[in-house]
Amino acid sequence: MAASVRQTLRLVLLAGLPLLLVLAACAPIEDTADEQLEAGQATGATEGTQGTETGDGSETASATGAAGGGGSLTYAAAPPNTIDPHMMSSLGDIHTVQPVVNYLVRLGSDLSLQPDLATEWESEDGQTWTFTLREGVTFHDGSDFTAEDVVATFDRLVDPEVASAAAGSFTFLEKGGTTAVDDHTVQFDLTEPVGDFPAWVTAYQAAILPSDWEGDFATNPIGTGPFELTEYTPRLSARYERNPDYWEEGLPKLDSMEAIYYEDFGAQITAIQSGDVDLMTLLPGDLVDTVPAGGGVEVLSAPSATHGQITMRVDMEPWDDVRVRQAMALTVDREQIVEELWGGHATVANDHTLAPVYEEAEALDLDRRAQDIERAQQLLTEAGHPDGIDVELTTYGGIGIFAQAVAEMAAPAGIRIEITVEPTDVYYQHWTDLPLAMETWLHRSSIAQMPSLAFRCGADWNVPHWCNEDFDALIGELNATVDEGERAEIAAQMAAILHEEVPSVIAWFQDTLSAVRDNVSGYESHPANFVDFRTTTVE
Amino acid sequence: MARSADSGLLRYFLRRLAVMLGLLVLVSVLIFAMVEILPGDVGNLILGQYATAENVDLVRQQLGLDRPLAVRYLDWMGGFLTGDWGDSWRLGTPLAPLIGRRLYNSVVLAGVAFAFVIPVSITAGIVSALRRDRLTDRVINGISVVSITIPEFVSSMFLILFFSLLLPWFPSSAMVPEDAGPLTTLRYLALPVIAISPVLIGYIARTVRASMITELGADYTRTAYLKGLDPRTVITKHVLRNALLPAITVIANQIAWLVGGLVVIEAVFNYPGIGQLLLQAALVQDVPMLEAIVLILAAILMLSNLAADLLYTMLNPRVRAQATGGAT
Amino acid sequence: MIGTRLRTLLASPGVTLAVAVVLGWLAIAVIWPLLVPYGPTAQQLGGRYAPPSAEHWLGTDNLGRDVLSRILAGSRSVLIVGLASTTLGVAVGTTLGLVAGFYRGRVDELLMRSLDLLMAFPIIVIASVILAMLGPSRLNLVLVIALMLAPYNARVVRSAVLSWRDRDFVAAARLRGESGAYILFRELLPNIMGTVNVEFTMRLALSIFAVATLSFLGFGIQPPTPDWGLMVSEGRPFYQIAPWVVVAPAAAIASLVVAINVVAQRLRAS
Repeated sequence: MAASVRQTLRLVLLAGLPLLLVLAACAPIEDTADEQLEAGQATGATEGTQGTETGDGSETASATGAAGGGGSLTYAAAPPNTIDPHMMSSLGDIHTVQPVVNYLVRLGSDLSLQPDLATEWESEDGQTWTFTLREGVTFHDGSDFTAEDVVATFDRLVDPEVASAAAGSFTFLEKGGTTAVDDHTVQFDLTEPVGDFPAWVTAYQAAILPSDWEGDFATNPIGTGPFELTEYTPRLSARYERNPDYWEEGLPKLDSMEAIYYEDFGAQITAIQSGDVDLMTLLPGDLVDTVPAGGGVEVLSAPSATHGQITMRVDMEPWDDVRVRQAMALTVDREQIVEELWGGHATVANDHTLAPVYEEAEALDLDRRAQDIERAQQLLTEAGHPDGIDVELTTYGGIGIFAQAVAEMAAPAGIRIEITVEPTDVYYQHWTDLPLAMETWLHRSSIAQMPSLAFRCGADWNVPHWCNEDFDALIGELNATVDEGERAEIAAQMAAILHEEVPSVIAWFQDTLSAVRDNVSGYESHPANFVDFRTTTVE
Repeated sequence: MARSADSGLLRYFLRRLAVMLGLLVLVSVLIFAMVEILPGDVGNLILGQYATAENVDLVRQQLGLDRPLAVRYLDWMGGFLTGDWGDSWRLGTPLAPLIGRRLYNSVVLAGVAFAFVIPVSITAGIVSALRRDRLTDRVINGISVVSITIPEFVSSMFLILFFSLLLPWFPSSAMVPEDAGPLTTLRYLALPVIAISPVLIGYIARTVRASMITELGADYTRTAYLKGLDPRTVITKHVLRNALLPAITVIANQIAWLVGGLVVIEAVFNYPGIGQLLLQAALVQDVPMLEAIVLILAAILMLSNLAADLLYTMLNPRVRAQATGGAT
Repeated sequence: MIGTRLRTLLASPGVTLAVAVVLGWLAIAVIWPLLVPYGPTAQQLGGRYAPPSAEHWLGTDNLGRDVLSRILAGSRSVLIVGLASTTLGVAVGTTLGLVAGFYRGRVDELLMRSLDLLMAFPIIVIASVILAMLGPSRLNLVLVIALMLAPYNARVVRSAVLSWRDRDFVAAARLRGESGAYILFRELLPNIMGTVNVEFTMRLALSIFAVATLSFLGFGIQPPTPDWGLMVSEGRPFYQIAPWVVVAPAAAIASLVVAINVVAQRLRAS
C-alpha cells in the first residue's frame, strides 16, 4: 500500500517533469477560428468623375479549365492580420486572399481595367451603373454565381453595422443602392456621379463572395477564384489547391500553392536564395541590393504611383510657415535616394502625387525641386529660424532607412530631426496626430483618389491637416470631367498647388518589386501590389 | 513509519500545489493590472489605420471594454479556466489554438535543446570534477564563464556567420518546412539549439562539478575506497547518484532562462514559437494575447519548479525527512 | 586595501586583459568624438555596403556610414544605460536587502516573497511587455532594467546582512538609540560594501546583456543613434552581403560583457 502510493507518486512526477511542457502544449492544438470581429476598410475614397465606360469580354465562362500540371509554388509573404476579404488592410492579407477570389473588374498590371466577373459595364450619367455579369461561374462550394451575390457583397461592404471602413470610402454608395436587375445584371445607384466607378470596384476588399457567406476566410474561404484555400494557419502558412472548375479555360496552371509567412524581409530573402521559397510577393526597395545578381533570383519591377510622404502639420509650429516646408523639401537629394537607396527602382518625384505612370501626367510641366541647402537655410532664416529648428519625425519599421537618410540630408540646412521608429500597427494608431510623419502611400487606380484622400479639407487621412479651397474645387472639377486632355490639365494645376504649398514632401515614386527564382515563369509585379497566379508555372 | 512518510509527502505535495495556485492567481491579477494600466488603444489595433472614431467606439463596446476592471478580470479568468481564451485583438482569431500551436513548437525546440544540453553538461561537469584544476577543468570552466555572459543574439550571429554564411551547413532561419522529416528538422533546429545551449550548459556543468567534488570528498566515498571497492563502481554507483541530485533543481530553474532565451532565439531565427508570438504581441500591444501568453509562461515556470522540488525531495532521503517532518 | 585588490586583479594575464578591455571601452565612451574617423551618422549613399578597407576599417552599412565610427560612438549609449540601470538597481536592491535582512520577520517574508514572484519571470519577457506599453526611451530602459536587477541583488545583500546583524556593534548602536536608517546605512552597509561591489560588477554585465538584447529586439535606443544592439538588428536583412555590419557590433558587445564578467568572477573569488 505504502509502497504503491510512493511508487505511483514517483512515477507521476518522474514522467511529469519532461511531459509537463508537452502536455501543456498539446491540449489546444486544434486550428480553427470562430467568428471575426466585425470591422474593416476599403482602399480609398473620392467623388467620381462623370462619364461612360464600357468594358468588353467574353459573355460566358467555359465550363472548366483543363490544364493544371504547372507544378507547385511556394511563395513568401508578410503575415496577414486578417483574411476576411472585406476587412483586409495589409499586403499579407491581400496576398493570402486574392488567389481565392475574383472582382467585378480586374485591375491589370498595365493599369487597364479588364473584365473579370463583370463582362461589360455602362452608365449614361455616371450615377447609375449597370454591370453585366459572367454566366456559368460557380463558387468553390458549387453554388452558381449570380447578381444576388454581387448585391450581398456590396451591401455588406458599405453596411455601417459591419463597421467597415469601406463604408467610409464608398461614400457614394449606400446599403440597398445595389440591385439585381436579373440573374446576371446588376445596377448600382450612386448618390452622386462617379465617372470612374469601375476603377473603384477593383478595390481589394470588393472581392465577390456568395450571398450567404458568413464568418471569415479562416473557416469559410469561398470565392470564385483560381485557387481554393485548403488550410490556413495564422502567421505561419496557407495552402491552396487548384480550383478544377475555374471559369477561365486552361487556368490556373499551378496544381497547388503554399504561402509561407515571414516576420521579416531578411528571412524572406534568405529563403528565396536558398530555394526554400520560389517567389517573394514583395521585395522592399532598400533591400534590392541584397539580392545578388546571378544567384538564380530575378527581381521583377513594376513602375507605380506608390510613394513615401513626409507629412508636416500645417496647423502647427514650425510647419505652419510654407517657407519652412519648402526648406524641408529643398534639403532632400532625390536623385541620390532613387539611384542609391532604391537601386534605380524608383523615379524622382516633385512633391505632388501625379506619378508618371498615369497617362494624365504627360501634360505636366513643373520645375524640378532639386537639393539646395543654401536656399533652404535662407528660407528658414526668412521664416524666423536663423539657428534652424529641432523637430521629431515619427515613422515605422519598414521605411526607417529612408527617414534616416532624409534626416541626415536635412541636418546641414539646420533642420535637426530626431527619429522615432514604431511598429507599423502602433504608428497607424496615431499617425494623423503626428507633427512630422513619414509613411508609404500605395498606388491608387484613379488620379483623383490620392489628392482626395490625403489633401482634401477635412479628409480622414489628411495627415498635414492642410486645407486649400482652390485645390478642393479642382478635385470636384476633375471628378466631373470626362475629356482626357482636360483632366490632365486639371491634374497638372493640382500638382502645381501641392508643389508650391508642400503639405508633404514627396521625393520619389517607387516601383513595386517582387522576386522570383529562375524556375518560376508567368508571374509579374503589379503596381497596386495585387497578386495574380493564374498563368504562373513552376519547373 | 513508511506509510506516515508517504502520506506526509502527499500532503507536502498538495500544500505546495495549493500555494502555487494561490501564486498563480496573484500573478494573473498582476499581469492583468499591469497590462490594463499601461497605455495603448485597442480600437485602432483592430480596425487598422483607416478607422473612424465611431467605429473605434463601437469596437470598444463590442469588446466590453466600457465595463469595470474587476468585472473584466473575472470574465477573463473565467474564460481562461474554461478554455475560452478570447480573441487576439490584432488577428481577430481565437487565442487558444494559436498559442497552443506556438507553444508546441517552442516545446519541440526546448526539448531538442534539453536533449542536447543535459548529457553534454553533465559529462562536462563530471569530467571537470574528476580532472579538478587541471587543464580540462580550466578550459571547461572558462568556456562556461564566458558563455553565460554573451547575449544569445550575439552568439547566434557568430553561429550564422560561421555555419550558415561561410560554411553553408545549416539554414540561417529555423522555419522548418511542414513536410520535413526528423533529420531535416534537426538541421533547421541545429543553430538555434546551439545558440541557446551555452548558458544552460554552463550552469548545469558548474553545479554538477561542485556537487561531484563535495561527494568525492565525502566520508562514505573514502570509506568505499578504503574497503577496496573499484573506483569506477564507487563513482558510478554512489558518487554520481548523489552528485546529480542538485542538477535536477538547476535544470528546472533553467527552464525560466530557457523561456527568456527562446524569445530572443526565436526572433533571431524566425522560429514560430511562443517567444516570437509574445514579442509580436508586445510590439503591437495585443493585450489579450500578451496576458494569455505571460500567464501561461508563469504557470509553466511554476509547475516545472514544483516538479523539480518534488523530484528532489523524493530522491533525496535527507530532504524528504525534513519536508515530511515539517508537514506533519 | 584597494592596492591588494588591484594586485589580485592583475595577478592573472587573462584578468589583466579583461580589466584593460573594460577601461578601454570606458575611455572610448568618453573620448570617442576625438577618435572617430567619420561622423557616426554621416552618410555616403554612394558607398553603401563597402567592405573593410584602409578607408573604412570595419566597412560601411546600408546608408554608407562608417561602422568603426558607429561602434566607437555606440559604446557611450550602452555604458550609460548599463551603468545607470545597474546603479539604480543595486541601490534599490541593497536597500531592500538591508531592510529585509535587518528587520527579518514579516517585513522580510513579504519582501522576499514579492521578489520571488518578480524573479519567477524571465527578465526579457517582463521588460518587453513593460517597454512595449511605456514606449521605448533611454529612461524607460534604465528603469525597467533596474527593476529587473534589484531582486537578485536584494537576495544576495540580505544574506550578507544576516551574518552581521547579530554582531555586538549593531546591538551597541541599538542601545545608543540610533535610528533604523542609521544602523542600516552607517553600521551595516560599510561592512557589506565588498559584497555590494562584487554584486555591482556582476549586475553590470547582466545589465549590458539586457540593454543590448532589448535594443536588438526593438525596445531600446532609436535610430540613427549608434547603438550596438540596434546595429546588429538593423544589419540582419543584409547580413549575407555585408556581414561586417553585424559582426563588428556583436564582437563589441561580446568583448565588453565577457571582460566585465571575468573581472566580476575574479572579484568574487578574492
